[in-house]
Amino acid sequence: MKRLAPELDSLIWTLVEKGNARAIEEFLARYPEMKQEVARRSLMVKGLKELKPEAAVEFAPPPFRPAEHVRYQRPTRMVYIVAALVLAALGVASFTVTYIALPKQVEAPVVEVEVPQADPETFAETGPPPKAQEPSFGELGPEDEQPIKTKAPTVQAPKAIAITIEDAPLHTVFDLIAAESGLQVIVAPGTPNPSIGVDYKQMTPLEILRDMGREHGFTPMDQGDGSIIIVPAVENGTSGRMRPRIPERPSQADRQDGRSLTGTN
Amino acid sequence: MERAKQGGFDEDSVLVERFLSGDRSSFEQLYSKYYDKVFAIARGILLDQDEAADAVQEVFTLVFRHLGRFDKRSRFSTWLFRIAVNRSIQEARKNRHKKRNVDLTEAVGKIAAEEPDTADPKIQAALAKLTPNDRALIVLFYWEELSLNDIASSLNCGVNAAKTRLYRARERFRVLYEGDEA
Repeated sequence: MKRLAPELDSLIWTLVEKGNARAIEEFLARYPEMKQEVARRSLMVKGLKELKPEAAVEFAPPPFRPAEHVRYQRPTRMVYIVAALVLAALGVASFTVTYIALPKQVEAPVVEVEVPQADPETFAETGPPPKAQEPSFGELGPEDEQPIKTKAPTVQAPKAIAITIEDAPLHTVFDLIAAESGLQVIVAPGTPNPSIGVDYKQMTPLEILRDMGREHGFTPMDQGDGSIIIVPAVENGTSGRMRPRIPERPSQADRQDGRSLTGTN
Repeated sequence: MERAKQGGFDEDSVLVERFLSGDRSSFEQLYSKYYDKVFAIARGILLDQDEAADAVQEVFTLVFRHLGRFDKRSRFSTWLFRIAVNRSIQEARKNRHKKRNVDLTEAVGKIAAEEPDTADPKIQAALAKLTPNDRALIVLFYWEELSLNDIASSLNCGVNAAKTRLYRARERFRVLYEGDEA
């Protein structure tokens, strides 16, 4: 069929849909060649409208029965809220269970280490005391003295001990101090071994040894690894033995006496 | 319903409010009032009376569940027709696969059996050949006699878009009806 101009085509549709007979007559009076087209479309529109189901039921509409299979097209806001709460609860529960199940880390025990106080008179120029070195004993005497060592120490924080002995060799007292404190006491050759009596309470091993050293002529040197080396306090130029070359600092008593273990004033 | 709207009194809005307040009988009134129209829309799109009856129940089920979401910016009938059109088109597409191998004459014959004897078989055949979307436009315009504004609201599109779609659907129908080659 020959295509009509859009305006004419639209006009014909409007006429046949409105169904105004007079308007159609006027249109055909103006466009008589459109008579068949108008008739064809009128028939089509009429047929379409007649095809509409009549108030399709003669009786009352069937009762309404909700169709259960009809799914929600879109969840309500409440669904989203509930879903969010459930997810949040699951997250919290998961975190809690994981936190409880994980093995707790054992906190490392805090080891209190007694740091020897620096003597400002001694270290003002040299700084902190140098780490004590192993004494070189050089030529050993006929006694074949070897450093007397107690059993291997267990490094632990120095604790105050109490020791009371009426009369015992000095080296025995060292052993007792070592046993009591858990430290290792190494006695250098040449350390005197007189019979002594001691009575100390609530003092650390190093404090006890220092006090004993001032009285009995030796110096305790804390190695920092749970061991203390006892070295004799040597008088200047009087000993025939090899002097252990130990960088050490004079004891407080010596300082007061104006002496130093190195033989220099 | 249209006369009531023009008179400034929207009976449908009153029934909707009553239903949302808990008056279940209000929904029954809406159901009775619009059953025929919804059935006609579903029937025109699905071309099958039984399928149309099922679709009507589904449409009103959706309305029953989601009436709280009706935002009242449009008329209730427009909102209802939108649901009816969408649901019917969905069903038509779903059933299309089932009916793909069915002879068209058989389908037309089935429609003819349900229609009055005065129905033009050429009209029925042309309608059956249209897509569900085109049938929806034809039905809304010629059966429900909705304006282009109402059709646009029912299809959730602009008026110009509705006008264009309607003209194209009508042209395709005309070609099929007159037997012209595309």
